[in-house]
Amino acid sequence: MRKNILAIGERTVYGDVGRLMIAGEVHVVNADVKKVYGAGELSIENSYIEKFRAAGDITANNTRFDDFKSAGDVKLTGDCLANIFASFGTVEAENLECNILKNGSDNVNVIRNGKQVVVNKQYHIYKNSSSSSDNYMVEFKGKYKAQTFENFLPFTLTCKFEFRNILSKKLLIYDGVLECERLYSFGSLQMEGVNAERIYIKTNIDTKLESVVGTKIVISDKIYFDNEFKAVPKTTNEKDFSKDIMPSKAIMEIAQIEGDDIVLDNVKANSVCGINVTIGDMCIIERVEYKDKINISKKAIVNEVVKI
Amino acid sequence: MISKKDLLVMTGISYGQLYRWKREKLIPEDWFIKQPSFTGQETFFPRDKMLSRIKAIQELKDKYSLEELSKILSPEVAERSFSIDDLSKISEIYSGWVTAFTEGFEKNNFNYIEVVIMVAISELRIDCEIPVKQACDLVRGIRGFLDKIKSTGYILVIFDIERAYYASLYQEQATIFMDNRFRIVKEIRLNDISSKLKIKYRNKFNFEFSDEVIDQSSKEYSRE
Repeated sequence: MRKNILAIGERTVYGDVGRLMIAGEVHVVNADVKKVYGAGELSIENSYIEKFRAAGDITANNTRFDDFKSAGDVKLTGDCLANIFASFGTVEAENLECNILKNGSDNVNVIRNGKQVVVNKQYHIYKNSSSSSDNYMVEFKGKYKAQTFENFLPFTLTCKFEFRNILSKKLLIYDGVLECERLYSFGSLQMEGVNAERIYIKTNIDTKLESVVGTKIVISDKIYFDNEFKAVPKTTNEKDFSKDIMPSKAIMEIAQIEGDDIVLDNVKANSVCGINVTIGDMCIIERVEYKDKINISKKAIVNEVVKI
Repeated sequence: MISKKDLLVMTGISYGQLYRWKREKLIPEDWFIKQPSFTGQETFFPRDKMLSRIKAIQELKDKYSLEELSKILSPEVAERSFSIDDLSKISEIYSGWVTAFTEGFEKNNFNYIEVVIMVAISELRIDCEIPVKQACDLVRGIRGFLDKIKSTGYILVIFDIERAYYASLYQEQATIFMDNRFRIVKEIRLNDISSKLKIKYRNKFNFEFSDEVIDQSSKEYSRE
């Protein structure tokens, strides 16, 4: 029989616990806990926590979480594991491996460092009331490995990472070429380029990319969910990505696009090279090279077509 | 140099494969050299290195996992000690110089980097016809640094001053400016030697790497 604990003030908790409610400075050591709720300074060591909902300064060492959601500063040392890890605030991880990593969540209301924190439920935006509205205060430092990274905030990737899949609804900034297996972007991207097996980019006037390279590439004004998208592990569904996104008809500029199968609309590019290439409506392409098949819309402008 | 278009036609690989191998670090990022062209930019590759690398990947990709292949082709140092008897099995090390190398290193057991250096210096015998004493002196000159080198991502520069040969090692990404009175005889990329050794002698020496976890099946394969 698991015990339920209400920990107020300074307290150390260990062993099998059902529900742990915390307020104050609590240490969890060698524990197996079903649920943690609360706020304060929480340190966890060598433990397993099934469901975690807390705000404040959280530190964890060699700990495994099934479903982690927090607001505040999180510091993870040693090797930490999570099935789902969602956090607002700054996360510093020595080595975090998870199935799904996300920088937003559905509903968290917290007080952090004595300051009022506002959570926008619709866009999952976390900001400090004393900061400007553009300061989202979410940052990942350290080393992260995830099957899927879900991006729900204007976010800059500065940590070391290895993400198999990236699903991005908002602005994603990265200094370099973003590499992963599958990238689905419904917001905007600002980076040197993308290199992935499967790429979908919703056209967006704010996207700035030099190159998009990979195997299957779709860049379109249309919202597009294929079977690969359905196969990506995620905490959200198609509606979460498609809602609030309107067809923009904006023509997006990318210098170079190279892949095996390429489908484009509303794209301006210098060079498109592929095996099977479809140039759709509202494309302006300087030069297209293709190997097997080419299909060019009557509503597209292509200066030069070369079969290789 | 070879253009990307020519490379794909010549090797029969697709864009997807090329970029997948780049993502998987099977092809070094710095081999993708962008040069201006009338369509903006075109990518070129060091011709011989790239063709031999693609051939190696095509030959090995069915035998090894991508993770293993990445380690074979990476600058990672193999964790193994080599005896004098082992050196005789490596045909790239000139057998007539093994005694000079043991004198130069003042030992009979060598680490992987030292083996790579011996292969590199052996190449000089053919290219520069350096005498055996100079091979020994080259080893003496750099042996003190080799313990600090934990990857093969270095370039060995051989230069001469009045027919005496000297060596210098610098990291691949580094830019060095040498006194122009030194005559550079040869620059040898240790990683090129290492990749060839790992592929050719993997089964013979059963190379393992510091953080490598080889599953049972691949171990069995390597014993075949």
